[in-house]
Amino acid sequence: MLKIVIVEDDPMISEIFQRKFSESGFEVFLAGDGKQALEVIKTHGINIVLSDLIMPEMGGFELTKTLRSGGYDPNIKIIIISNLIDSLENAIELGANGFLAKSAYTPTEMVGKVKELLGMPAQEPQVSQE
Amino acid sequence: MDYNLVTNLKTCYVDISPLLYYSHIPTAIVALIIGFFVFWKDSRSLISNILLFIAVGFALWSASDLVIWINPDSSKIMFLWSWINLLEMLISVATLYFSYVFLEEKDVSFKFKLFFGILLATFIMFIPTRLNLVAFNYDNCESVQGLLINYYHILEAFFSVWLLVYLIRKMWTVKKIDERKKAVYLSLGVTSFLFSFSGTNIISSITTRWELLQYGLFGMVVFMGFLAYLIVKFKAFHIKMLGAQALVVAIVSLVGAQYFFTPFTDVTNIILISVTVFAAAVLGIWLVKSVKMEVERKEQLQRMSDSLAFANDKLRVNNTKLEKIDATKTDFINIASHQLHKVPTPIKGYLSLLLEGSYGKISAEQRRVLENINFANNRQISLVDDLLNVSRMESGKIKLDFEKEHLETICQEAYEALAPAAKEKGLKFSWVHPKKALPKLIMDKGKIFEAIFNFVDNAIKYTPKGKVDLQVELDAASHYEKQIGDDDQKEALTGPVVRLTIVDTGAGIAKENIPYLFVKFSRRDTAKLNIEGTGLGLYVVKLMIEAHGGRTWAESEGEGKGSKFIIEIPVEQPEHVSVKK
Repeated sequence: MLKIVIVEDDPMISEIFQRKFSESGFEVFLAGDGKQALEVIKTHGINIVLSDLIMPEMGGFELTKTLRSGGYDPNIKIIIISNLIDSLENAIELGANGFLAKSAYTPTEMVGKVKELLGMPAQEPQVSQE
Repeated sequence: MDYNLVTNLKTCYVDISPLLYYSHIPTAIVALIIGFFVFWKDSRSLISNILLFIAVGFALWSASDLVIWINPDSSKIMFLWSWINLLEMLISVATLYFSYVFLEEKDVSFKFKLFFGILLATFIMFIPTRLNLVAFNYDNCESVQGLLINYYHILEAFFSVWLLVYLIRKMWTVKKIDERKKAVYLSLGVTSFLFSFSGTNIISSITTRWELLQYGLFGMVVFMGFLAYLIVKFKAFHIKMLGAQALVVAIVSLVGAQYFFTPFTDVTNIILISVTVFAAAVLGIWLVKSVKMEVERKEQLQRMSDSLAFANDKLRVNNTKLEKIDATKTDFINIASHQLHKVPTPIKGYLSLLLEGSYGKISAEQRRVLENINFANNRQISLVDDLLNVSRMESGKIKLDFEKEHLETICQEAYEALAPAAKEKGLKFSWVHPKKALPKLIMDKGKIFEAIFNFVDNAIKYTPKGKVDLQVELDAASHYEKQIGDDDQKEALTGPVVRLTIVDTGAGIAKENIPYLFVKFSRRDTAKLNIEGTGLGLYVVKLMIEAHGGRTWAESEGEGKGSKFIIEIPVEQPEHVSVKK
């Protein structure tokens, strides 16, 4: 099971993504900012980092820079989820693997997009019928 | 050739002063030292080869001249005399060659070489003839020079003038300080050489006062010194040190050489010479030591400076990157974007999960309500996005990804994307791909697709029945007319244009509202055309098309009479529309 850490300071967004990504078969970890994320990454051997940009303590850019500066597994995939779409270039420059606009996708679409970015096969989400 | 030569002429035994030996031998040796030293340092460069040639040529000349002076054998004198002028010309040509190569930093053209080669060849041809040396004068132990000597003077003058003119021109025309210094130094060296060596040569040849020649030879040494200094100064640092050493050795030898020409009986002179040699040696060693220190210090400084410059560059690049990223936090658009999305985003997320049944089964009524909330929330997100896009476009922050593409290709994509929606509504949706390819335009494919999609989507939405037509064509002239809201600076489109038209048989637009369709925050009742309800959507499209150098507008006969939306992009797009690399 792939390990994903959701780095986000808004607890509602965290809850939503945690729910959806667990349902889709990921092992989900949460972090409230970049600093917490680094600890989680060190302790749990994370495969994917899904990070917001603007957070207290350490934001998404700092986190990306740190993860790519050596001392961390270079195979970790970093995807920035943020509505600051002008920052796409900066994110890629710093070493992120992808950039998704947060409010453009439903959580289900978001999982699909993440899988797409990682080259994983798409999977039909389980939607319970009423 | 029968010159009737005799050996052991009494007239050839002249009183030979030490100055003769001193001016010929040490100068030749020093010239050779300098030449070989520079050659040894860099045997592959053309410049050092030419210098060596000059040095060897001069040494040969010196040796020949000395022999002519002291040797009583008239046959030897005649032989050497016949060649000596050639040697001198070769040295002059070589100096010219050296100057060119040194200042231009490249070899001369083949034409040049051919030209000078021919000139020299014509001289060489006559050397073994009586035009060169007519006879031998037994009275003063000299060769009698023939007409060829005039040719020799002319050629020498020609070479000298050419060289001087070249150097003077170079000095005046060259702009960079370093290059100028090179030219100045070279000119000084060459002038001193010319005047002392060639000048005295020509003068003594004309006046037959051969003694003058001696002094000219010292000029040769000065000249060689200049040449060597030039090479050393304008090349690598470490040559400087060995150059200094060579210079010291040369000076000491030159001074010491006087020993050979001072009779032992002349005690005062011997003492003076000894003192001079000692002083020269001491000063020389000190000079070499200080040059060595200076060179090492300079090299170290250079290394530190280089690594500092490199580190600085890296730092600067990183700093600009960080500044840009930092601006992200404080930029108005970014702050606005962050804050304005903060509320609707989790709403969208939760609603999606609820509707998917993630929090349990929901009733049909609950579903309906949730879907209404979702719809309203999505409208809000679109409003925010549109507002931010307008803000970005107006402040020039939107980065357009320009590529060359056929507009009809993008139309095809839009058609395929919306055909199902039209079909579902029972509308006839027609699109004909032009048979002949239209000229490629520079476009941000994504944004143009959005614009076309926007118009077609609207057309489908506002057409209850009938048809929607999408067509694209090339026209020789624009149909655009000035609209309300156009500032006076807006130019009309000139030249051929690619026109995209979307016609529908739908709700149409009231004539009085048409001018306000694309206006920002229009207060007219056109809001329903921007179904996500902003009054902004069409304005954003307009800004986008104009960023491509194009125009967009709408036409309609009136309400209920259908509408037409047009995009025109000129084939000759403005300068700012260009594919970035």
